[in-house]
Amino acid sequence: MKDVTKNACHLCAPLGASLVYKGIKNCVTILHGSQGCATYIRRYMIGHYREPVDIASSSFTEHTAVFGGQENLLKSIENVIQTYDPDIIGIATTCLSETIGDDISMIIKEYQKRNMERTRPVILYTSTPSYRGTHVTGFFKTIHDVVTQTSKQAVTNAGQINIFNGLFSPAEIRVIRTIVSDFSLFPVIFPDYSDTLDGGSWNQYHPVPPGGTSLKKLSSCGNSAASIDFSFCQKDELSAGMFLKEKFDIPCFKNAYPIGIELCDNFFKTLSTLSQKPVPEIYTQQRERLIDAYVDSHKYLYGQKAVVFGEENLVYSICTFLAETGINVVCAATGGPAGSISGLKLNDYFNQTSILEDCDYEDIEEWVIHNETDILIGSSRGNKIAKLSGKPLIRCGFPIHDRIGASRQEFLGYNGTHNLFDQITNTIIERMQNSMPANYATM
Amino acid sequence: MSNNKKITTEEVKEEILAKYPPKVARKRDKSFVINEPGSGQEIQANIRTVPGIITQRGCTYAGCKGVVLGPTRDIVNITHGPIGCGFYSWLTRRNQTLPEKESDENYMAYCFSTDMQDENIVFGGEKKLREAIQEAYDLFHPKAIAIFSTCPVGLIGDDVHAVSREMKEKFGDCNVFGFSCEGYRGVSQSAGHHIANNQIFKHVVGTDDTIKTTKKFRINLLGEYNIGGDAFELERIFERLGVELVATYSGNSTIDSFANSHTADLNLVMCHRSINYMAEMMQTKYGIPWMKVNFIGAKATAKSLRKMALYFEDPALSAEVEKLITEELPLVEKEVAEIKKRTAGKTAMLFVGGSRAHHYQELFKELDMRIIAAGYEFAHRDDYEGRDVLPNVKVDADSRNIEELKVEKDSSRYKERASEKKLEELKKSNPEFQNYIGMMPEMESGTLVIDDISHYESEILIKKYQPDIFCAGIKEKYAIQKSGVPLKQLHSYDYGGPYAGFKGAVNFYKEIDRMVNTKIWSLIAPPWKKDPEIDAQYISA
Ligand code: SF4
Ligand code: SF4
Repeated sequence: MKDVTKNACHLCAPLGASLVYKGIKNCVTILHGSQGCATYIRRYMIGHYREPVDIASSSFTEHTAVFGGQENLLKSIENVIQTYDPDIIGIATTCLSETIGDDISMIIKEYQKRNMERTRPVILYTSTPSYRGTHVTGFFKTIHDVVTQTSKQAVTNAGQINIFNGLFSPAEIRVIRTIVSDFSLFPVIFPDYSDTLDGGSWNQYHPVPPGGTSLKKLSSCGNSAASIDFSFCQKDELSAGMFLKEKFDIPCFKNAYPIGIELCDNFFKTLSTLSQKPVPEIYTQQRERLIDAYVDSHKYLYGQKAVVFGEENLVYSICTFLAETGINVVCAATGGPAGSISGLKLNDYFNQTSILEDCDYEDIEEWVIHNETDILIGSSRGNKIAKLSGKPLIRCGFPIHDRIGASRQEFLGYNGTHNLFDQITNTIIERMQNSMPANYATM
Repeated sequence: MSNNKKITTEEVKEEILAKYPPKVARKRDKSFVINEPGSGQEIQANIRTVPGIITQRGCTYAGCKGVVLGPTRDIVNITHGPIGCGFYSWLTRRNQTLPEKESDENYMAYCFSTDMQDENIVFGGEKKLREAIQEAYDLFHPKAIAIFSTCPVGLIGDDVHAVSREMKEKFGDCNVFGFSCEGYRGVSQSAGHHIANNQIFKHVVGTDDTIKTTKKFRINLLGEYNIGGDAFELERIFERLGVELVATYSGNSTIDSFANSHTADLNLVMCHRSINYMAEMMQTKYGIPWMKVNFIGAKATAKSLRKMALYFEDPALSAEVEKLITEELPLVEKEVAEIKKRTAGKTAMLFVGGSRAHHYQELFKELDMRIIAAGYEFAHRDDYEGRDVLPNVKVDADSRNIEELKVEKDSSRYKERASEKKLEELKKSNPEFQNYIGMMPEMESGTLVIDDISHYESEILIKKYQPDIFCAGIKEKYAIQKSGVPLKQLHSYDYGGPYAGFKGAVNFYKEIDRMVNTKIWSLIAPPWKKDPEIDAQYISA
């Protein structure tokens, strides 16, 4: 680890937790610590999703910081109940409460002791110190912790499967739901912020935006026939699916984000096995169209040099997809920890990919300046590199603060891949066109 | 809307408070005032937000690193802490900067952090901090490095000041200083402003005595952060007037300009909340008088310029000011006359900042719009009621937590700019000379003034009053707009601006015209269209 991090390529853990809690129905998040963390995280999520994001804080004072946060947390639970009346309160810790060593499970016990008569809200919690993880680990850990706290097992429901999402966009969550349903499976999708972070205008007031996985659904996770878990690059201890496997013996398929033919095939194969149904024709057609597009565009893409950066799971999947198109990923970079992508088989696809892990944007910038690159693919924080190097940046992942439509970005599945593919191809064609002396109207 | 059930402002307030537990309701009650100018009303402000109530406020660190120090381009700012705090304050405030030469130092695009890990929390982070400072120094050889503490740092007891001193001595040619601006230290950003003022005053101001201009009039502009290019418009105006802007705190600024800023003869204060400490300390130590100004609003700009000219008592300068006003104001008035036809009578609410909720009322008045409610996010009582209340403001544990520097006359650098007699006269002719009269006296009677409005409260206000526009920040924007009310961001300006000065005023008129008159809102069927409860005309009529 370097001494000074310059323009980090990862965010902090409670942001991941807040995102997961936004995917639970009628849930309000409390970050346990000083109010700045909650405000910053709200600001950051709102900038990306352009939707309301309400996160409460237990608002530490100096006194709390020294003597512990129990009373503040109890007070904040009470006030959130009074003003929002949620079904669920999701608590995540911050670096401050972790440094003090507040024990949230004890505080919740104390709350329950003081409020024996109350049946709701249900209080969930997760521990997310950022000095021990990133927004990505915070995200998966929260999924894991919520599932460990809510899932019960009664009777196996043969048609029901759990889908534990990765850091998908709201539109992508909708796509996943459609795909799974098209196999006549009943998915429990978690987290599901497809409505809460991509809602319409309101003709009725909503203290908490509508949408999200309900508590009932969450507790039925233990009845599912299988889990598909997208925490592909994460350790098993952060996987909700692996937890259910251990605890209830529910088979778990750890899938990479389905981008590109190979990774989509894996996902569809899993669904086909679980449903014992062939892949529906609309998807085989989508697949064929995608391959057809690969063929048509190969002349533009072959040998183009791409630098891909961002969250480890996304980077891995995008690289795997690019390998199919003839694009050469010359550098794959992530702010995720060492080993998060280097352990995967990226170098089987490409001759020589520089793999940067636990890196910051300055490392990526350095790399881009000293090596040949044609295109950048990553979050909007790469805009400095794009500007400096004059290379186009395809925005994907989190955050996207300088373009609209982050919530509707859809890169998963065959069709989603096709969206991404067309964007990349057209960007490359445009560059070629602009660099030609003659004014070609046909490319 | 004559068939509306009419409820009074008093009833709205009651309804809002009814949802809170009794203790919280009692507390919020004191921050909720139905304005009666001249009646000596008190408002509770700068008090801790109740845990669990979703606030607009940020933390002390945000006020220190983000607001005050963020816009200075040539200090390497290192956040000492885990990654989030630094990341979230990375280039999000849209303060612009324009180095004179391309080769000039400019670190604005960077976000340096020690990105503390487990072992730093357990065994202390000073070693990592030291190495980070060294690395930054080796990389850039900057003039200055500033260290900002985040919450965990305060707890584990890292001494950022000692490390800074040590590194400063070691380098010899680089000013290194630290800020104990842990997020929990104060009630809001405001505590961070104070801490930033203190440290800049201690470590930078007065370290360079050279007068770098031949211009006769030298001023500093305090509390102008160049959001959306505001400072550029003001620089243009002062340039035209032949007035030297020694330093702006801190839009488009450099550390050298701070070092030199004690050579100015007048401090103009824009955002009183964030920078009044600096104005006061510079007065005591160097003898520079200050006056409150407002460059938001064309007429307000003209008025402020005239006040400045009055202070310098120079006919040539006064003539220049008048010339500028006669040249620029009519153009602005021509624009506003046309736009006013579409904005007159519309209503606005402003819940933002520590001065903007007041300053921007000017622009709305120029558009003939009515302010029906306003409040600050992190201001103190004097920003509402005027500085006269200062002796009566209770000093609580949170305020005591922030160091008050003991400042004395600098024996060699103190210079009397104006005689006692002249100062007295100026005070008489200009109520805002060394004074701020606050927001409440300038608001109509019957309007609502709410400090630290919560997310829940603002939604109820929207529902009850259906204002034509709501001004706040990005955190409120999408919630408010879901209900069909446009929200103008007055932190980041919605990526527009400048709005200061004459040119800025025109930009703002156009922007508000666009926002309140677009057809888009008619596509949304907001809840009150179905069930109207209050006629906004009712209040303050
Ligand atoms: S203290 Fe931790 S949780 Fe809070 S913003 Fe900083 S990194 Fe994130
Ligand atoms: S940890 Fe403290 S300094 Fe950092 S964002 Fe949170 S409140 Fe602010």
